[in-house]
Amino acid sequence: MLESIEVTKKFVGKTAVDGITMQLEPGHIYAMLGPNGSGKTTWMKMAAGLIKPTSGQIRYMGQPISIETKNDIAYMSTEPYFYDWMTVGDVGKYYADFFKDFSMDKYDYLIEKMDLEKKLKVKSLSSGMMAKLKVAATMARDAKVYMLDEPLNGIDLLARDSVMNMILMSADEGKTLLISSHLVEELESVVDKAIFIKNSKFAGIYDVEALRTEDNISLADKYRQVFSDVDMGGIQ
Amino acid sequence: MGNLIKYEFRKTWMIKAIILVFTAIFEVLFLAGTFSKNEDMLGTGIGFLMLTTFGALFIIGVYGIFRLHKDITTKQSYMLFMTPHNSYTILGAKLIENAGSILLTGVFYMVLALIDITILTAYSGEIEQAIAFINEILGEHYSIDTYRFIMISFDMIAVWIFNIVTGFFAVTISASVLNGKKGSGIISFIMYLVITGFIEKLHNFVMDCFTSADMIGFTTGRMVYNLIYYIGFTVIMYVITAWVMDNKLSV
Repeated sequence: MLESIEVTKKFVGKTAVDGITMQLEPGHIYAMLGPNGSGKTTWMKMAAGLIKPTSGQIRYMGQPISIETKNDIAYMSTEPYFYDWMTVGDVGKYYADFFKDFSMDKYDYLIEKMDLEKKLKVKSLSSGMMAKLKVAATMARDAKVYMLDEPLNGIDLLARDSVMNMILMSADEGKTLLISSHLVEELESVVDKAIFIKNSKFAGIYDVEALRTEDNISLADKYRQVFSDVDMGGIQ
Repeated sequence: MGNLIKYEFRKTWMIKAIILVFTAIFEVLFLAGTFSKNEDMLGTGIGFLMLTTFGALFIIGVYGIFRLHKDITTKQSYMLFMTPHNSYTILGAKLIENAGSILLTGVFYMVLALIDITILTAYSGEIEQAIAFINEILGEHYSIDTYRFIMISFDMIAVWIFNIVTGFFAVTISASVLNGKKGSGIISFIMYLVITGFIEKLHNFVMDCFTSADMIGFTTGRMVYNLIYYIGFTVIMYVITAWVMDNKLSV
């Protein structure tokens, strides 16, 4: 469904993504794991059609990423990106104006479950509330592929549970979910596949259940194994 | 594209509302001065209305450039680029909203000026005599009447819109090709000055080559040439900027 073929992205003086080849299939929830700066966000942005690869190609349903694929691929950035003047209600209207697959009913349901009021100004939201709003707006789309970049960043444990529940509500057989994070333990119970990105390169794709039953290793331990030689800010 | 234009307008309506409030205040001052024959009040009203006219056109244009800069250099860029629209449509919406606002603002102040002059001449015959006297001094080629006033205003608006789209180009270059490089802001500003300067020189050169002695001062042909020239280069700069945005910008 989503195929990355030898994808490389170079910025001035840095290779952010280096020859990544992999394939994502529908009906799975993927974790994209790797330390900060490993290239997860850059790859997602390319798959979302926000930036173009320096070389290689990402294809969705056999077609190169384009304006049309944005109708089927929903991307959520880790940073807040809504306009300052918006309210929670305005965010819904904005998505409804631009995405045919956006359901205002589902959005209303999700923000109600997240205890968000429509009249609330976006700029007044705490980081936890903002994370919930971003996920609610993204998951209210009936997209084929959801890519969520660090959806659990900077939010407390209870908010994490709410966000993860909201994400899981949208998972079904025909959809692909890709969640990037470095909070491996948080994702372990919800994902069934894990993609490792190490030093901008593809470092393997693993079936989480197979890791547990066949290799007798948790996803977190596999992560430690793969990245043990990577500089992770003093943590070895 | 309609939705993009709608949200572009939503981003800029506050500044336009503020300009309108100031215009209303100075118009009241002008009318009060006219009806009460208070020359100080009248002069102040006229002065500030003229200042507001040029200020409004300047602020709306520059604010459009500022908005584009913000929309491509901050995380708010996702709001535009995650939508299923290409850079040509996104930039086109910005240009239509901004150029449309400038045009409407220009027309609004043109009409206001014509109404105010009519009111003023109705209340003071001296003003009519003064305008006739000034036109006599200027001579046939440079004298101003309603038709010439409107044509010259449209000409100035077309030049200004070209300057704005060149500003769009400069901030896009700064955020894409020059992104992360030292002095990108200054380099792109110099590019803006060079491009606008060159286009003006080229305009004058073409004018000198084809202007005959009887085309000195105001002629309709000259005004039409100016409009076509600057609208043409506005379109060219728009296409180049959208191409750069599409191929070189990383949001």
